[in-house]
Amino acid sequence: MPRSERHGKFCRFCQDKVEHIDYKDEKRLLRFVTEQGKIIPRRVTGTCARHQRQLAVAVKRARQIALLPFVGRHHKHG
Amino acid sequence: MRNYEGAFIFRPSLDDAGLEEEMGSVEELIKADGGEIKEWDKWGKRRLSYEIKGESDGYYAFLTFEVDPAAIARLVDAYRLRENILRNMNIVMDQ
Repeated sequence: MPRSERHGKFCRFCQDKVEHIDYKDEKRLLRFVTEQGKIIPRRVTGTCARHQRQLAVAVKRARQIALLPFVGRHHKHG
Repeated sequence: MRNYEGAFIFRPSLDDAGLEEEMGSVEELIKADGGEIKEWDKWGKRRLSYEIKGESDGYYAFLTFEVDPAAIARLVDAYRLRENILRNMNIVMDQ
């Protein structure tokens, strides 16, 4: 084993042939943020540069419409 | 004219008629500014990731529309005045 990586070596979005990362796809985005809501760096997830850029924009949009938290665990309140 | 996708979160306590009215008013505003309505994608009630205006749930709906870019600022100003629109975000849909 080279170094331990969270999701393996390949970009998940390239594997799934995702052309455009949708900010409404909360389920998918959730796998790329920590429990605190931070975006996980690509050195950890293995996401390619192109998709990581798209991912960052998508996560930030999703936060604006409360699909993802800015901070803290998902659905903590209430 | 440019294609947009608008995300709207409405107050969850609205009944069906109230929701219709809010969505109608959004459409009116866009049309009044020379825009064109494409279609609504209604998600329904969902839990919010954080509270907005004292609400922890919201009614999500997405609207695709076409409007002149200069009109967006006017639309956002108008949405802000509406108590029952908890949140709005407009995204340009190029290609």
